[in-house]
Amino acid sequence: MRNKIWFMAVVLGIVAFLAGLALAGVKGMTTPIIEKRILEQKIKPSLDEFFGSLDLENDCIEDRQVLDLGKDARGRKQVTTLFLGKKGGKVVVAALKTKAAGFGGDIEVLTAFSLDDKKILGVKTLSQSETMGLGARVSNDAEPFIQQFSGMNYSDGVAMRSNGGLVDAISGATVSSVAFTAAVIRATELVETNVGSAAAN
Amino acid sequence: MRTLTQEFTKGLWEQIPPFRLVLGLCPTLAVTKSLEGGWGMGLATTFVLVCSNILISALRNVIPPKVRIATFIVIIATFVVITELVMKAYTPMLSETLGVFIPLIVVNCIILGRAEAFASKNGMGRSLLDGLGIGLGFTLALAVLGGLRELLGTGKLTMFAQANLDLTIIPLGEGREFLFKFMVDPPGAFVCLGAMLLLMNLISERSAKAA
Repeated sequence: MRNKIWFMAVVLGIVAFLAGLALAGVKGMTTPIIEKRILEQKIKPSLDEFFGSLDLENDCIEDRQVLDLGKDARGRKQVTTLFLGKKGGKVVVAALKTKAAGFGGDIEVLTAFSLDDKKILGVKTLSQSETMGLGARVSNDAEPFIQQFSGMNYSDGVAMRSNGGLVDAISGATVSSVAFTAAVIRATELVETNVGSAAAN
Repeated sequence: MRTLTQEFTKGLWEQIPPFRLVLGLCPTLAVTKSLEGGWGMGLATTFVLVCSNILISALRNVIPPKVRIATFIVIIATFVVITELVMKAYTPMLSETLGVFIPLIVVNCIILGRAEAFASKNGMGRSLLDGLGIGLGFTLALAVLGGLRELLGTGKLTMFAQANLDLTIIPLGEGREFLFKFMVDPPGAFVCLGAMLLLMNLISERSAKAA
């Protein structure tokens, strides 16, 4: 019986099914912990760095909003988190997490905006799996590629120099640079379309 | 036939990976930049190895021979993803140090090697001891290699960065980061590994002569 095709399929199917169940369970248990940790250890220090000198009157982590981004190509629900900072009852700064496919996987970027003068306050890589020494340089905050975003005006859109914009790529890491910039551009678009309405609340 | 004790202890010297059982060299060379990387990788591998060995041994009479490798990989991959998620949740700094090498435990040849060569032919108790022995041997080897490289490279020993457990053994001057940078670079791993193997062979030769 062990050599029958149907038996092989059944055994492999059962093993894969049980493996899937086990993984779904573990993922369900660990996801909230991982998300909480990312919020506390990665996003909070970055937000403090970007907004720290502004004396905001609210806690942007506590007042975070979930932004529905519709569905991706495979029909999975996409969401991101929007952090808004208020001053005098008015939303003055915003930050949000976006991602784009890089060379070795998704690059996750946190972009912070100053809404009054339409400037990017700063960008930060939250996670990446790019090539060491090349694309992985997006993780380094002192990297000129990362620094160039600070103070950039986004009202006319952000673009790579090859597309007529102002962003210079990291040489030798074009794919990673384009992906990173794409994530920033996405964040810019989302802020432009969503924060106007959120500010009214 | 080995006794149960021998089944466990063979992994600690006689068949210690990666020196005697020349398997699992990629993670050995990649993550042993620090003591923490060494033992972290070793323990993660041990967990996967023990769990997959037990399960594969339990199912060895059910799994059809023709699809055994596929079944083994599904089982191993499941335990690896569980390890990855749990480490991300509870030991985030270690998980970042090891990075992509945690998911790569799936293709660590030690685990599939033990599944195919041992667990699929032996009972659960023996498979457990085999996995534990080989895994702890691997942990020991990686920790010694990582500790040696870190000590010579930076003068420090990182036990567990998340709890700020690191020792400065050789104090360096102000602004100096490395003692002997070569040791924490990839080629240093080869040299260090070679030196350790030399030492192990010398000891084995001595004890063989004495006997």
